[in-house]
Amino acid sequence: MKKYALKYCLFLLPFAAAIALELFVLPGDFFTFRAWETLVVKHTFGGLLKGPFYPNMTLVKTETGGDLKPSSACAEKKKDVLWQTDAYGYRKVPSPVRRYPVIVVGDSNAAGGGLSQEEMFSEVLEKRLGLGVYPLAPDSIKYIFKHGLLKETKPDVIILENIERGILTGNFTIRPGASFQEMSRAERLLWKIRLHPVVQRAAVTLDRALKANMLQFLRARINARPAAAAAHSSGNGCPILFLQGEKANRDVPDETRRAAVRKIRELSIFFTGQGIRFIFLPIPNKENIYSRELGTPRPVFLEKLIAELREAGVEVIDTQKAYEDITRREGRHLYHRDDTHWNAAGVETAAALVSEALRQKTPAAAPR
Amino acid sequence: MDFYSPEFFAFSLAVLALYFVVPVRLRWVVLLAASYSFYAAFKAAYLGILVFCTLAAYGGALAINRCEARQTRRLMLIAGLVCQLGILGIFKYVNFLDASLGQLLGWGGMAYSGVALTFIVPVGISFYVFQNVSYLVDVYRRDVPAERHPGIFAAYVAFFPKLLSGPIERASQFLPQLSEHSRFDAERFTNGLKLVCWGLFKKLVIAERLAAFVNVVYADPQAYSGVSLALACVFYSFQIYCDFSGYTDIAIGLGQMFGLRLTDNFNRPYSATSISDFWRRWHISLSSWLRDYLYIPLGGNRAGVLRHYLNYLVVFGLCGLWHGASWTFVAWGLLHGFYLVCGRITAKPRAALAAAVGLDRKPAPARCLKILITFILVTLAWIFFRAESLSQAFYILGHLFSGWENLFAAEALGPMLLLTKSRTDLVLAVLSLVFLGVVHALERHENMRRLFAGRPLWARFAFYYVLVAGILLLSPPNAANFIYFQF
Repeated sequence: MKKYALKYCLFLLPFAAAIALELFVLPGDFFTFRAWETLVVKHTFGGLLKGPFYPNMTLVKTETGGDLKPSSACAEKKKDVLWQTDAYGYRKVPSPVRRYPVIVVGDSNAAGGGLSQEEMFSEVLEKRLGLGVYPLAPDSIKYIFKHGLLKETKPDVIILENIERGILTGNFTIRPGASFQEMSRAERLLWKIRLHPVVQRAAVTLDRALKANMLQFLRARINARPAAAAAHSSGNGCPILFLQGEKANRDVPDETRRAAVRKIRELSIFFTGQGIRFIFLPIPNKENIYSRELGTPRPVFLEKLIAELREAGVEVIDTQKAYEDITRREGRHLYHRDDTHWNAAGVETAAALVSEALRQKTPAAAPR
Repeated sequence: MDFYSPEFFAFSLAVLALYFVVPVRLRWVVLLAASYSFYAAFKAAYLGILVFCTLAAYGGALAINRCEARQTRRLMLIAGLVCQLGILGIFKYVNFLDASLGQLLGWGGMAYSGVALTFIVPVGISFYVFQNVSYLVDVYRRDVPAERHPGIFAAYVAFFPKLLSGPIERASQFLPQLSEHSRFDAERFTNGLKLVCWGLFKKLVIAERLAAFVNVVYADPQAYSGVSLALACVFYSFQIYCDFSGYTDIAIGLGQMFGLRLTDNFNRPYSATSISDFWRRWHISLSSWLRDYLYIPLGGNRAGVLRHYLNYLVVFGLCGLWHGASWTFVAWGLLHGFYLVCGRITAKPRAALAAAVGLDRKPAPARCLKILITFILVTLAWIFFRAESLSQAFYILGHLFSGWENLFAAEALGPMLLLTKSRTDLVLAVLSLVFLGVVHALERHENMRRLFAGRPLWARFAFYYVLVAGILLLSPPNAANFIYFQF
């Protein structure tokens, strides 16, 4: 038995050494291409890592290219991006602030995929408004009531950001009776455990070990196959790349759109009923804004959705019109060429629209 | 829970630890609880069917055992078999029969809307039903006594490493082991672990690499020339072997780690020198089941020549149907039956031809030729097994020999072979097949375990590192499930 135990130890030694090298010697982003991959949580360990990213992290990562074709000759040039996360695992500089008047709930756009910390929508908006803005992203709206800080501090404004394609599949439901209220003693204890630096460090180390980035890196190198020629592109030379291509601009049935309107309206009623201003911020698909370059008819889903939401009394930001105008008239790009997400100009545009709306003391609409 | 996932192995190790910690008399509880939770993880409703089949077999065998009158025993057996095969029929074949009836009536110009039941076939049902059938028949024949302990019997039926795709264990071989007092044995555990690694290598490194080629061609055979079709067919022969025998190695290896011996299911099947030899080497637990519980009861080779041939066709037609409710599987089975009938009919002329050309005096070339011909026949039959439909299978068969004139044109050969558009894929596929061939060649003379036993530690470690590194680095990120899980 002892002989076998020794042999097992001897055999496993190189594997243990490789894991130790990755976890404790090399930088955390050594085998990853983007900060997102480095910091994203894969295993929550029963809720120990509750947020989408590793908590209390500061990372400056040199990212090359977007998420659509990072290794192509047309990849956008190298860029240092700063990522900072708070104790809850969201992309926010840790601060002693206990209440954020504005919460942005959203997808990877709101989380700042491909952007540096200061370019994030929440940071840009915070600067414009001079108010604390918290990015609850990427997450669905119900996570407000699961966040250890936000769940008991009622904000003044909730901005729900959603990419156009995400609206069709979006989870806009929240538990009936959910409300902002003080945590029980047990909940407080649980959060104390979760936020303890030793627990967080252990959970992050374990998650990094299970993510096995070194192994994934090597596997990706060995098993790499040429990318499918189906990367949707347009233009000559270095093309603009798209996630879904023509498919994204297909017609959406009226009933699907009406169902989305109903759900968003219910959310709006829920929050305004609690005295919170609710703003819906749809982001057009990249394919929508570049429909001409793609050679597809201009999609009308978002335009109709915005009109119907306004009709239903939901406060909604018309990014469709603003994005089209800027792209067509000024010729400025609001999306990275080789990434699905908006760029800093896209963020600035949306933030300007939202801050303009918020400057109006009373909402332009109330849910009917 | 995928059979090759880290979660499955963590689960298996936890069960193993518990198995050797609890008192021997309670080990069946650990096995049964683990097996049932493993099965329920696929779909909780499946568990009800498994429990029903287990209880029916358990009760049926006790009833048969209790009766002395031959007639009553026979009736009990028939009731038990109807129950087991009825469940299999309902879940696996009702929709197939319904669709076939609709097609038949459609050809006759009659309208038939069908019943279209929305069943999901419970995983592993064909395996545990056949196991229960063999148990009932064995009890009826008084080859084994009926098991009185319901828990031990249930653990025999549901033992999780073999539950989904066998081997189809005989009660006489497996049941007594569940009551034996076996202590943890580090050597046996290590040997089991090595077999599990070899199984994983076969599945994740070889079968999955080959699957990339095969899937591309079978998704759109019309787009490929005969060379590509032939390559895909040959690769599929090795893919299905590595896939299924890989699963079996994992199951047998896990069994060994528990101290339980499972039946060997494969013995280098592509070294077979005839189709009957192939069936002695391929899916041995099923072929021996079909021999003992179908072929011999039908009269085997003792009931006249024509009946003998008919028995082949019936047995292999049903063998095909057992694999799946589709005419492609039936065609595959019937083709094997046809091969065997032809083999019998042509035995004498073939021997005379071999003598005439002098092959009978050259055993090595004669053996190679036989192996090659058997492999080609088996590969042609696999086309029906893999094809989506009979028409696709006939299309591939019909175009297998087209476009070979471009074989030596350098610019044409690349696209014909680089089906996944990756040179690395092709190199790794060929290398992994060479590796498999070397291992099998070594195994021809000596069992791998014994072969390695006398070697220095570094040589053994080097081989194991190749296996583990291959599994970790060469397995695709999204491996498909085992082919035989669908049966």
